[in-house]
Amino acid sequence: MSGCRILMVGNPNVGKSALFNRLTSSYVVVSNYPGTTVALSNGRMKHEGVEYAIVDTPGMYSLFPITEEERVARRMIMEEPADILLHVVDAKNLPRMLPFTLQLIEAGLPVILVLNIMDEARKAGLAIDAGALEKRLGIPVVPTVSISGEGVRHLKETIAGYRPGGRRLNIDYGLSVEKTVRESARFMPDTSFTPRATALQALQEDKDVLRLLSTVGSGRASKFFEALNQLKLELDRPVNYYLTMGRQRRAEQILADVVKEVEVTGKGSGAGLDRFLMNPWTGVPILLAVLYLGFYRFVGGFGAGTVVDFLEGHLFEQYFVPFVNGWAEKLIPWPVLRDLVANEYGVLTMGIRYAVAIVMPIVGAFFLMFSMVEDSGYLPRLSLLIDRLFKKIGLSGRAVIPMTLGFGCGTMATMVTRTLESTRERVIATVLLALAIPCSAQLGVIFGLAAESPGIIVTWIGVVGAVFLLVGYLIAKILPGETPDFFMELPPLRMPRLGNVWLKTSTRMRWYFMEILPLFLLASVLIWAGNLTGLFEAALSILNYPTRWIGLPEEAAQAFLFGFFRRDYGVAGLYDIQQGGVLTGNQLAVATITLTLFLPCVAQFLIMFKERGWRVAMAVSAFVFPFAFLVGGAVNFALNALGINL
Amino acid sequence: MGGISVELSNFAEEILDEILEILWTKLEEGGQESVPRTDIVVGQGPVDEEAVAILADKGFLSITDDLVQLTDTGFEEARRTIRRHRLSERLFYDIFDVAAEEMEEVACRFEHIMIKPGLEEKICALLGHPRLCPHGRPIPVGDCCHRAETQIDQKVVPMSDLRQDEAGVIAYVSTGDSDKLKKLMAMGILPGEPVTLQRRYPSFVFTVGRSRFAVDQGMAEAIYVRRSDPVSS
Repeated sequence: MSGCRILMVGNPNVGKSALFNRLTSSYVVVSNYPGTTVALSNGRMKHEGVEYAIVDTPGMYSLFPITEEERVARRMIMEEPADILLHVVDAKNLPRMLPFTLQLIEAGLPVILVLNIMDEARKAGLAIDAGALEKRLGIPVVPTVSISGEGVRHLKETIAGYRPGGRRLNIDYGLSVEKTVRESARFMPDTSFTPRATALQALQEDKDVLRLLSTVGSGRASKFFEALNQLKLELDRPVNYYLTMGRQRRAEQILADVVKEVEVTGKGSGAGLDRFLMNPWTGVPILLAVLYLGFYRFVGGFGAGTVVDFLEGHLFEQYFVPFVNGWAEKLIPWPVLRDLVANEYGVLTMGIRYAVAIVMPIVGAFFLMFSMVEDSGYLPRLSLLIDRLFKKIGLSGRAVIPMTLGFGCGTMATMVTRTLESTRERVIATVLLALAIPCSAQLGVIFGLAAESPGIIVTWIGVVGAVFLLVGYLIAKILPGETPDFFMELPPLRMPRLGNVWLKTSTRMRWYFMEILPLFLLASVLIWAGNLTGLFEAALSILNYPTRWIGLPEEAAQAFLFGFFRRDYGVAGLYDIQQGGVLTGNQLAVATITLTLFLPCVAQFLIMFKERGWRVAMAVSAFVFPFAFLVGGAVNFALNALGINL
Repeated sequence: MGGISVELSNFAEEILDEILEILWTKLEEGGQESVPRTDIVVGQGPVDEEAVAILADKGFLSITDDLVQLTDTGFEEARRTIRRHRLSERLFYDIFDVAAEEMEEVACRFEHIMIKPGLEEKICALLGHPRLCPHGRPIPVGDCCHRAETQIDQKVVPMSDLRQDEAGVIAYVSTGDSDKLKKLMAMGILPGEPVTLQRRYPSFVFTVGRSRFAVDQGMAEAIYVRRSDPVSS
């Protein structure tokens, strides 16, 4: 088969992304928590000279989508038929996963079942007879271990030899349901599902199918609803219940002697630690320890301190910058162009220097730490620990993932808010990310700036934390809608794998540089152009007022202006001022607080537009700009009034 | 089911009950002293003189100058009727997922079946002794509700009532919000599956099969579990 299109589907946490990386030569981020694959990942696989296009979809539990990302995945399956559908499941949880497989087969889709994570299944004492399962299902079944690559060759061969067709599978859902399905199948719009399967979706009041149904004519739609209402009266439970139970029963029959428990092993070794993580009395101290060691010591101390000092203070200040400036002087006779590459705002001396010497070590350190934390399965524990607090600000524990990621890169995090269930939750998370979550680049420099005085850090954490909770609480009050439900599968705690951590970190770094570096350079050019045309002069003279009003020297206005292009640019600018020894402790606290709350960087701003629409993006900006200065001014006033010198 | 005569008598019973319900809502919940005869309207029809007469004969009503009041026995009868009616509303709304418009009609019919001895209490227990009907009006308390308060050994309880490390089997997933039901079912949290509650705070953590889940209070309240070894107090 040439030009064959393969779609990968499956629950969250079954190793889909890792398998995708094994099959294709590219890499997508794999993690031990749901919600990494927010967009579809495309890759190519070559096997014996034939090329296949593989698409990885966000995790989903069934053909009935719950979150927006699941809806994306389901739409792919239903509206853009693939040549092969790989259903990846967790082998040790087969009874829970097989109903989805049955649903896919029943829909008439070309399914190959991949029993992944076979190593953990074996460890749990399960023996799975893949051959018997294959016969009963009538589709190919391939056991794999995507992390180690076991079975991947076999899977590729199975894909290459796949021929569609084969046995039909119809599950008996009981007399009443069957009658209604038969009746309503005739009214169904065309999808890549069989009419029967489309009707089954419609009976669960699947929004997408009902939307399609309304396009084929109101007559057919009203006939369908008549049948559905009749059915609802006849049944003693929701339709969904009958369908789910029907598939569950069938799955149990199929698995009857396919899965055998060879031995019953005790609880996993992580059980003790797990209890400590989930208990608030021990969990919160552990969280603080993770934050202290991970952020403060590693990202702040090592990344922003040691590595930045070496790269920036040593390599760039002493060699790179003088070298570039020297050559620019010699080679470029026009001062205007010379300033574009070198000197204070040059693409090389500012753009590249900030990106490579200041931002890269910090972001790299963050991603390294974050990859380890997520690989261990800690984030879902954190979600359940913090759910009650997050409910107060209109979010659920689920939002821990985008929020934590926001400490790395707000742009990436804003994208990940897609994994949240309601629009309301996504808007709240977007605002908080834009306002009160500093990205690692900022965070690193802030820690670096405030290293001498713990008072600054305490003030900064206190004020920004209070703003986070207060603003979240107020938006939750104002925005209509219900508090989101919290539900999450807890993957087992796993020892982070070095190779996996490294791959994740490097992939995220690659993403960061592909997306962010051009923006750094663009920002350099814009600043240069702004200086040249006098536009910056004008903007600065306006920004001088609020800057002075919150008690900062005028140089800081420049940092704020640059901060508009990249938040971390602003902080890095402050860093320069601080090196000059101009700022007092109080001013430093006010400046770091204001900059943290200040408008997000260009990239995050654009993503906000894309994900939330211009109305939300503009409203957020209109709120954040004055609010940042307002809080800065208030802190300045309070510190001075109380006679505190940090 | 029976022949025409049974259906006819059922029909008459329905009208009697409905009159009692109207009187209850006006007198007990509306705070009226008495109800003018002309205000007793069943369906679209006019005052059902015959039905009012039957109720008066039974000693449920006292009528003075076209003003109707409930007697003490009538008050008690009306209270039970209201209770059965609102319980059946809850039943159809929560468990059978019947749309609100249709709920009224089915509930009206079903409340008569509930007269059978024991059935009302069983349904009340199944629903977890609810206090409010789907419209938010109070359900009069029954004997079983009082007993349930003093006993902890209810067999089917919301997961939020299980103790830490207690095991059971999921009996059903109930909620007025069918979105929650769909989410839970999609994750494989299904009736018949064995569960063990591992943590109650800060979130509910439980295992189903070989998987572990964390949910909030609201979701935990929607999962009803049949306890494997009920504790007797």
